[in-house]
Amino acid sequence: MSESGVHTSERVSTLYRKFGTAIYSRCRRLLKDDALAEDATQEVFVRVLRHIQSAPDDATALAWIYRISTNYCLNQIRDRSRQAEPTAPDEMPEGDGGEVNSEGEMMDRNTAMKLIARAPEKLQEVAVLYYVDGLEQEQVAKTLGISRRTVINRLQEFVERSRKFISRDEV
Amino acid sequence: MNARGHLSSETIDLLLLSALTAPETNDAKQHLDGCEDCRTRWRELNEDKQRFEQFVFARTLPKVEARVAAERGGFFSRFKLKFLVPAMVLAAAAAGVVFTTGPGTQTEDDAYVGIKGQPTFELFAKRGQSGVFPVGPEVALHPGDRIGFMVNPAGSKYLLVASQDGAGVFSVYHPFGAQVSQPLADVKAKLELPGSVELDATLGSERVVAVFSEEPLKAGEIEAALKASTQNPKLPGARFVVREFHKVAP
Ligand SMILES: [Zn+2]
Repeated sequence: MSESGVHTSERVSTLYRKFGTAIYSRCRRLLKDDALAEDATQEVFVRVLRHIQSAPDDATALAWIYRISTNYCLNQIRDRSRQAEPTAPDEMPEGDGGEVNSEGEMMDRNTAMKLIARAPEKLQEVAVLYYVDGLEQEQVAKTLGISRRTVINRLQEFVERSRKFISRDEV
Repeated sequence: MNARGHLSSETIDLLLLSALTAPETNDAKQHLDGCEDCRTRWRELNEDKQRFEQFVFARTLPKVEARVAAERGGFFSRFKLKFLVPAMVLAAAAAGVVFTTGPGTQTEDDAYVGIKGQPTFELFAKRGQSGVFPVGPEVALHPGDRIGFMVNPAGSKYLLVASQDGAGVFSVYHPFGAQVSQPLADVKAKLELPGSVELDATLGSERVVAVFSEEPLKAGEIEAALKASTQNPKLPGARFVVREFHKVAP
């Protein structure tokens, strides 16, 4: 007897067991909803599988997971906010731990997510990887397949826009 | 540690996967000892690991596997099944019920069936480029044909599909090569198992058995039960559904 599809299924479950936690934890953190995170975990895994099967090491596999799960969750968040009634325009953190300064101190992740949800789409992924995940600019660039210069520009734009929402002396 | 004085998600995820080098692991652990923020993230990740492994994995794996199989343009793509199911029902009716466990297992099974309803197991085959056809005792299969499976777990929690071929060799077909049965989604409808198995050159009568249970069973125990009796295998807590086909040279 030889294999193919069924054997693949065994490999799929091994990879799912191994990387599922990283995906699930990330989706929970970004979506802040257990049921949505559970659905997102399956969706992201199915999308990322091809890449992690051919990844040379775990760090590369994780980079794909970050890229695809960030993208997926941000889309979910956008869909949700489109469906929901528009919220009061300034229901935003009032300097409660929002440490967005030019040195890029890692800001409180919840604050970061609130700011990111309000940022233009093209700035969101970069901001998640940099502020929520604490990746270096270089890593953000590699993960998203863009130049480091683009990462720096987008982060700057993100910080400038976020200043409108955060009233803190040092910002 | 990143330039901002904390561990990145990547470092923390790699630490959990035990994929950091020894010095990197030491650095990361040292940082965790001294940093409340990162310790919180590390703790959260470990809690998520527990949740994932205890609940989410088992709940979502069947759906993931079905999706992967479907996206690979699997053995039975969804649209084919629509044609397939009525054909199968007709064929099974024409052939009489294919082949099930003998009366010996009934006492134990009846209690099980009474609660759960009857789990079902169907075999399908595909030859070359031609379509999918149901497998019954009147159908001869050839080496190189591919077989796939459809089950209705009727609420059973675990499943393993195994085979004993014409030479008496035992193999686990689903999950392929597995040592234990796998959890099923809580479904009471027919579902197609992802993937398919290509038949090798061993000719003769092959029995394929679906083993439904409430607790995971070891492949070794199932093999022993089949060795004791292929017609009427018995194992506490297990419900066997046996199918048989003949493999002949084309
Ligand atoms: Zn830290």
